[in-house]
Amino acid sequence: MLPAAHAETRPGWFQPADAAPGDFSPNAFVRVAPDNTVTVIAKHLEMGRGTWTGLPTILADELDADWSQIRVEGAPADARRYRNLLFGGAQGTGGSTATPNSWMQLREAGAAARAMLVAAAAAQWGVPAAEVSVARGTVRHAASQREASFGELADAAAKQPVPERVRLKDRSQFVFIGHAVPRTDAVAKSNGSALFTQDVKLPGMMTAMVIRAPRFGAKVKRFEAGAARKMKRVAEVVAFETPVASGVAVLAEDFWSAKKARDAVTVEWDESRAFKRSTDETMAKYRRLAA
Amino acid sequence: MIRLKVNGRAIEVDAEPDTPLLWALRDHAGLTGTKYGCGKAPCGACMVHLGGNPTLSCVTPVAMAAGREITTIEGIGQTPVGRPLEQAWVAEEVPQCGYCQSGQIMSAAALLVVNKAPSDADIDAAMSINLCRCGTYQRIRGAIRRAAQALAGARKS
Ligand code: FES
Ligand code: FES
Repeated sequence: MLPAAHAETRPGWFQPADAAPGDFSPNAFVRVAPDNTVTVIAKHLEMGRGTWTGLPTILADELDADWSQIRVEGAPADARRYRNLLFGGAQGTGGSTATPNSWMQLREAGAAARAMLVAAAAAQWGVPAAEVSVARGTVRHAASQREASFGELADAAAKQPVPERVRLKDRSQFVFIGHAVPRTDAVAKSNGSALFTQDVKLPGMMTAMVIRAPRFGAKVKRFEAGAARKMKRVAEVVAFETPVASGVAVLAEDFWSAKKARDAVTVEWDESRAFKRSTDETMAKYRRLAA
Repeated sequence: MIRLKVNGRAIEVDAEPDTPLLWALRDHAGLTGTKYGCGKAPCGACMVHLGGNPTLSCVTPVAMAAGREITTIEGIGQTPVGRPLEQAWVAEEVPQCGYCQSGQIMSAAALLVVNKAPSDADIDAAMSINLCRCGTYQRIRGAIRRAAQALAGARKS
């Protein structure tokens, strides 16, 4: 059951997903477009575990969508709508939490969308909502032999009130959950079009190559940029220090320019506070402690 | 400017001659399907075809590729061997994170061009250069067998 529909107490995910005009988005996790595609917004990263297949499975099941109309999109950075319910207020992926924290949320999100499609169809056809059924992406009124796709109903569904309470399926009614569905990322990862972090290129973006300290705790004493700064497409050579690392970064327009410039930089390290124990010494200490 | 022929298309890249072909493709030509894994030849993520031969683009200077036929993951699907391979990859659901798979498919395509019916041993030998951190090796084998069968069926009909 959804919490009471009181504006201030409603969780952030009751806000719609980012959507184009004409789309039907009753909450942060689903968007039905007039072209009949259903986009599930995944608040967790896909790193090979099948998350972008598993999460839409949950929503699509309660929505009674057809698997072929399902698309997946990564959520924008917005913890208000997309926080990990097991991470407090933070948005994030990790610790095997993606499915468990999303389970009820995505079921309720799908069920709410379904209820609004049903209500829209019932109003349009002048029939009781209880007589309207949904299966595999088609909304139907059997007695009058009328049917409509989600896309056809998107506009009207968007005008329906978001339900305060939704009825969830009994496990025996699941059609996707617990059943095999094709992975949503297989095609893009088989033709080179899948976008990885390393493939993102923003306007004016630089590539940084880092010279790291040879020992934990060593700090840059001084560095000699030498020819590096004058090399083609190199923007800057800078020393940096953070609580956990110290080093020199070379910034250039592209990887190879940055790499060549990095190789031309020499660094002198201050190892006065660096960790210097050797592997042998560490093993000896371990043996002493374990004895 | 260095002239390249990538996936049948003539392009020019403004890269230094010693730039590895990998970075000419990724940073200069905007073809990011070919991946950077190690930059030193032992992982296979950067595999492309140069003049029809499987080639590690991370250790191949772009100047050496000038004027020769380059095929990348973005173009292999349009070749007679690449198309059934990509279909087999999807049917077998090979990719997990997917990072190594461009290189895997390029190596598999090079194998099927010279060996229409590879045995498991042939597959293992041809694919030994390509590492998969997710461990998809069994499915890679299955997909190559499936693609070989599809190619055999296509030749018969
Ligand atoms: S990136 Fe070329 S072999 Fe690893
Ligand atoms: S699929 Fe992840 S490394 Fe191969």
